[in-house]
Amino acid sequence: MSLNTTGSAREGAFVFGQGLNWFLILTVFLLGLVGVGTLYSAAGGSFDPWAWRHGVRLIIGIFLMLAVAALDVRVLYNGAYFIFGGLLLLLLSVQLFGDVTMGAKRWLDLGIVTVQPSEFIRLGMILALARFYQSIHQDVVSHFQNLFVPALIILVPVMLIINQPDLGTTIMLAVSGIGVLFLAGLNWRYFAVGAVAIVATVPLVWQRLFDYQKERVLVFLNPERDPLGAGYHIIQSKIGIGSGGMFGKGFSEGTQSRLNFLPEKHTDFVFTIYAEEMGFVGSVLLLVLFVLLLVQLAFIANQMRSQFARLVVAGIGFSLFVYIFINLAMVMGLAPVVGVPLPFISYGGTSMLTFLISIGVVLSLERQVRVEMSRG
Amino acid sequence: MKHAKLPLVTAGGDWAGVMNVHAVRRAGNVANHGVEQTGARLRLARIMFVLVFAVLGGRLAQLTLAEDPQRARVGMADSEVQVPRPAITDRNGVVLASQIYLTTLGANASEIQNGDAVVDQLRAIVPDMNAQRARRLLAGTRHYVELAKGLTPVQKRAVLNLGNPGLKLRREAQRVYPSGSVAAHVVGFSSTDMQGLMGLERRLDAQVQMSPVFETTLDIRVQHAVRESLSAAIGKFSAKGGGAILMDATNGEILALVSLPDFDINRPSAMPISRHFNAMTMGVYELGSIFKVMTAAMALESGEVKLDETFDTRAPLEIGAATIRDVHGEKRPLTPREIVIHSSNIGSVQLALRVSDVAHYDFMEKLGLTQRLQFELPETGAPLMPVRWTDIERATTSFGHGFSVTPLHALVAGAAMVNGGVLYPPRLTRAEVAVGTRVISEPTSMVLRDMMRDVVTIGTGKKANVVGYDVIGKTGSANKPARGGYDDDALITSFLGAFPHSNPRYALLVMLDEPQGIPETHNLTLAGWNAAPTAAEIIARAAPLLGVRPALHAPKAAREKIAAETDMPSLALTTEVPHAP
Repeated sequence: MSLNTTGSAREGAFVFGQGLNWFLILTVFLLGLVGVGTLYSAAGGSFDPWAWRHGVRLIIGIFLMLAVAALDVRVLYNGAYFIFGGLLLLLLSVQLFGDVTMGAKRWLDLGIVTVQPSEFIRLGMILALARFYQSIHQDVVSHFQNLFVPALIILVPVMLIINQPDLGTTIMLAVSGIGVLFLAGLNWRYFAVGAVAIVATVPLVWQRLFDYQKERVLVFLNPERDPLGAGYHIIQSKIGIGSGGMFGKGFSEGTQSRLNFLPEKHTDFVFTIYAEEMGFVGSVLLLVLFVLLLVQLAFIANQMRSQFARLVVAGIGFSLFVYIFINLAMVMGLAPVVGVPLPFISYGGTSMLTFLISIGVVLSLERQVRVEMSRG
Repeated sequence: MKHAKLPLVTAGGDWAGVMNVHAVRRAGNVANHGVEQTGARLRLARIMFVLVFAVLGGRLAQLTLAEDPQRARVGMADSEVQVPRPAITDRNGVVLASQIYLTTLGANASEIQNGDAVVDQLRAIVPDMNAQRARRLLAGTRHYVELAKGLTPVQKRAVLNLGNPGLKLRREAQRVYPSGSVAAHVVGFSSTDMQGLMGLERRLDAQVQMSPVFETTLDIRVQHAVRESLSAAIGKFSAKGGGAILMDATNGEILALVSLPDFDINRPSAMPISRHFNAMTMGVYELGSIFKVMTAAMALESGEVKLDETFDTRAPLEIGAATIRDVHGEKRPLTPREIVIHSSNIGSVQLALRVSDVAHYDFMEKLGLTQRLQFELPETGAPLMPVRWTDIERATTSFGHGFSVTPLHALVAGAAMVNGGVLYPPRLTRAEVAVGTRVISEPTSMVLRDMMRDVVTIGTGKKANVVGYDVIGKTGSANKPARGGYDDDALITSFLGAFPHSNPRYALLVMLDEPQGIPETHNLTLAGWNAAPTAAEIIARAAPLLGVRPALHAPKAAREKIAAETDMPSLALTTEVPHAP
């Protein structure tokens, strides 16, 4: 375990490359490159308009990731609540000064880049939750009075995003938060009660949903309900993936997506393009790459010797897992179209940056645990 | 959950306590419980995670590997509408399918102010428009209602001159089939939105590269002749239906393929949909004795049977619980040649049982009789082979019963028997080089030719002969399967033939579904009385179109004399003037 550590690293001080998990970095980089390639293909064999931006973001993101990896764990630990609070403020500011795209108010134009704080808040939430559970003893995790803080940490940003409105991000945020609670060891009964409560409130939520959101759920239940309208996404996506066959049509040879049968092909439905061109074999390879990433995160989480570090890594891993799962299930017609990007592959700056920075956090925690371990 | 109380790891202050579990271990020698609990939950999460990726992988396999490739075309429909479909022609360039553009008159009902007046104006221009319907539609508010199809240029101009912005003219492509019903099942048809629904029209949808013309191997003149002869025969024998295929035996090209009853592909829905059924490529039938040729071929090829050997066919043959009888038994030992000529079931069974069961099945497989044919038409039928393969099944198979194939299967295998022994897959597109598989040796094929010539000269197929074309062939009459057995009154009769004898260029299969007896046939319904003469009709009309010259005959008497002396017509006998193809 102390492979990457040498005696020169002291007290978690950052020496570039020291103790860094280069294998994890390589996995992430490869995934990003798959994204660049697929987006190149999605544009009909052109770096414009998506692939080159995706590539630039990948490079910038990796530098950001390394920068975060250089952070001292103490900064993350002590700053967890502040990071969360700061991001909440940012989220709030979107409400006030946000840019409206596609009827959804969720972007903040920072001049250089437009960012979606609703994505970033997920990392802040995980940090804050982990920080909270580090501070209480395991025996009291399930005590009723210890539910309020985590509930607040999850619900405040969820409420802010629901208002924006963005169903996919909201669900992902809530699920990631609940995942951390689960990993923290919260009593099973709470999840059972929660599940019952959710089922009970379905009619209420249903009424509050926008028509297009209702339609998505209905169409998921029966895509043929509206094959030319809302069911179009799912049907076309399934056709696209299906037409790839065993070995695919070859890079840049996809027709289903190329001929614009597929809307949102560069964002949420990017996997369809990939699967159509790379076929079953290529798609399984991509799945393997994702599995590789998640397995590494699980291993790292296991190595962590503090509740905070372990929950952060596991929470980030769980969040990634849910994103990958929901996106793939969605494009393959197993889940409703909720607007969830495929990490590292889908076009979208904030999503890419959030995931890379999250990996940066993991790197930082891992690096310093190793240093500590080798020292002890 | 009982846990020993630990010194709490507290926030902010003691950082070493947070990151370094060793201090805790040393203090209490107990692990940090929070970490342990999270570890248990992590394991659970990992299981979930494995399950989920298994589901994703499975779904991926289902979508990419298992789903019907037809589905992949659904989304293409829109773009294909833009791409003109290729014309379909026969081998001589005669157009069998093409498209024309029609002007369709429609209207935006909400933009039409005075509907009735507009209808009156339009009626003057387009008299066959349904005025009542038009009034009703225009009274509504729909944004597009169709009023009339197929406007002439003059009518189109007149409508434009009305200057009513609510009236819409659309240019719509429509497939037309000049050959009507002549090659209905081969050409097939498309829907109004240019989706191929049947036959080659449907096959074109799967075509990746669309050349402007799709040339088939059909010869529409031959097709027409075949259809007329067959249609006449169906009428004459009051048959339920029938079919005929004429194939180039040297490369598998189909020149004519008729399945009756048929329908006009320009108006596919005008006739009952049962007429859309292509009996020749999709229907599977027990075709009976024509397969005795294949059985003889197998026996001779195996080396287990000699040409001069005789087989006792005098008594019915007991195979397990079944008894094999002959319809018109010769009551004497027969040579393989005589077994074919007299169509002896008992003899065929003995020929077949000389080879091993594995070799028997392999031979059927080699002839393509056990598998669905690879063919350009999407409508293909899969053979029904017996589930078990014991002596009983092998016995019935030897004379063409107990297994069902499409007539095209039988023709393809039959052509290989007489063309020198090479099986050519059937095709509707011209082949640069014909690629076949050798299934029997050339000498065996030559022997079979002579046997089949004898069937036509002295056997059950006399009525198939056409003077000058030296027809060879084999008849087959099979009772149709019925509930619990066979229907004694319902026959499928067939004639598998080829011409000319010396070097068969064309192979032919004629099939009649339930032909009835007529005085001319002495009320007999066997193939020799109906399928064979129909084949003769077809050959007599088609051969000249195909450029086969009638041959001068070797003197019949001399031929029969030598045949009697050698017990088998020698190959030297076929010294007829070579036929020009």
